[in-house]
Amino acid sequence: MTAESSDGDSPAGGVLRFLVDEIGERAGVAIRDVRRLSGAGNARDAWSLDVSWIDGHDRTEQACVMLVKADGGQLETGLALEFRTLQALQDTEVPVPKPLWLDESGRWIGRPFFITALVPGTADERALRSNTGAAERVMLDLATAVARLHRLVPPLLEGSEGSYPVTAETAAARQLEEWKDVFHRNQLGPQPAVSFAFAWLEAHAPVAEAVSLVHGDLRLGNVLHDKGRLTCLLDWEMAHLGDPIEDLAWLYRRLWNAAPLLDPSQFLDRYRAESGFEVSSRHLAYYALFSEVKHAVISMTAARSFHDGRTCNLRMADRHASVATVMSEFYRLVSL
Amino acid sequence: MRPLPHELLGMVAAALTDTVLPALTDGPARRQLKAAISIIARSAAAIPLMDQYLREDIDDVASTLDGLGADVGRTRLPGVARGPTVPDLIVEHDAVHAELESFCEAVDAAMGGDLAALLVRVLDRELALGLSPWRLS
Repeated sequence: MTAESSDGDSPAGGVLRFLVDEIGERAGVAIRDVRRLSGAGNARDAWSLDVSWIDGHDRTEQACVMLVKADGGQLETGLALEFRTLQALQDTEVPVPKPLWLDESGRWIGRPFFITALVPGTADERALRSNTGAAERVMLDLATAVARLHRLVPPLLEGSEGSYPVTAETAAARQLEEWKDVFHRNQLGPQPAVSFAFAWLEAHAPVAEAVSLVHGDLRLGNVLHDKGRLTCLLDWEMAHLGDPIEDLAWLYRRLWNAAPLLDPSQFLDRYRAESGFEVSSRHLAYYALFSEVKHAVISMTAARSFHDGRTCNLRMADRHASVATVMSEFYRLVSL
Repeated sequence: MRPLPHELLGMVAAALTDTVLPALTDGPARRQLKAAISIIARSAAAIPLMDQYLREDIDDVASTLDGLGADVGRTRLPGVARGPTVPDLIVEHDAVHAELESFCEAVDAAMGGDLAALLVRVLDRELALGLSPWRLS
């Protein structure tokens, strides 16, 4: 077995030992070109690597991406659920990377990680913002892909339903319950604007048109595209069973600024045609409000990780200050 | 005592921007330094505003809660005696915000009225400090 790396702090040695354990001592496992990738977000570190092994008489070569759980992050989710989600979505019409290997234990490189096949493309939004034709095609591809995701019949995430089933009637309440719990565990001081927002959302929770697998972090930064077409949906760490409209509202948050790439009405036209869902404006408006509160809680979780010394990532240090920005958006939207 | 702490922080942020940042190529170290500079610069700008911010916010929250408490038959919790220093004001600020949070959790969540207006003012004042790393255009 051999390992080549071009980065000094690379986990190549531990990954190679893991792969030998997974694939087999006699398979001649080798890894090379282990490189750190930028732009993987604050919850994980990403690496690219090439893996090869002997399968029968032939040597198989596989370009891969490895996602390593950060020491402390803005999310409390584990990697296993995300890996299982990717497994569940194989052989569907939803474009996702092929999951290959998972280590939940952290014993090989000190932290849990999983490896997927590399999918061509970039998640760099700047390429789309400077090319309106490509942006429109990718956004329409995204509408189709999300509609296909939402048409899948749950349960795809068996065992993740918690104490009671997610139904059309309970979908909103389940998400509120989960995020409120995260809020209470991570707030660093009183947050009356958030508390009142939760109370408002609980009082106005809609009944879902359907229950589906929801991506949970659907935005351009998690969309891989190549030559002006969507190639893959990334970052499924917040995937859950819920109300599909949640994804649409999250995508078109003002903070992400997706509207200049494709007018929301055009996106919804494609989505409605592909999914068959009605998507009322009132329903969408509810999840726009929910999205701001969810983001506020994510920011608090990031700040809490830094405050408690679970991460040294300075990009999380003052995320608590961003809560006022997103909660102002909540109160602006609710008054419209 | 010049430079004052906030002036010193502002100069540190400027010096790091001008001298250290250009020496780093794109990567994790550069992104961390940029984050640190941003935090230092925003903190430097906010420090001189803290005293006035805290006093205005405490007065507004406390007086609005008094009015709302009377409306729903609640009695204000005893506040912390206001001291002259920013740390004293922060203690009092935490106390009135904790009371406001309790009130928010107890009332019917009908949007509008004095409570929602107060929450908007609270957020506006916090944003005016300039500490948030994000702005919505």
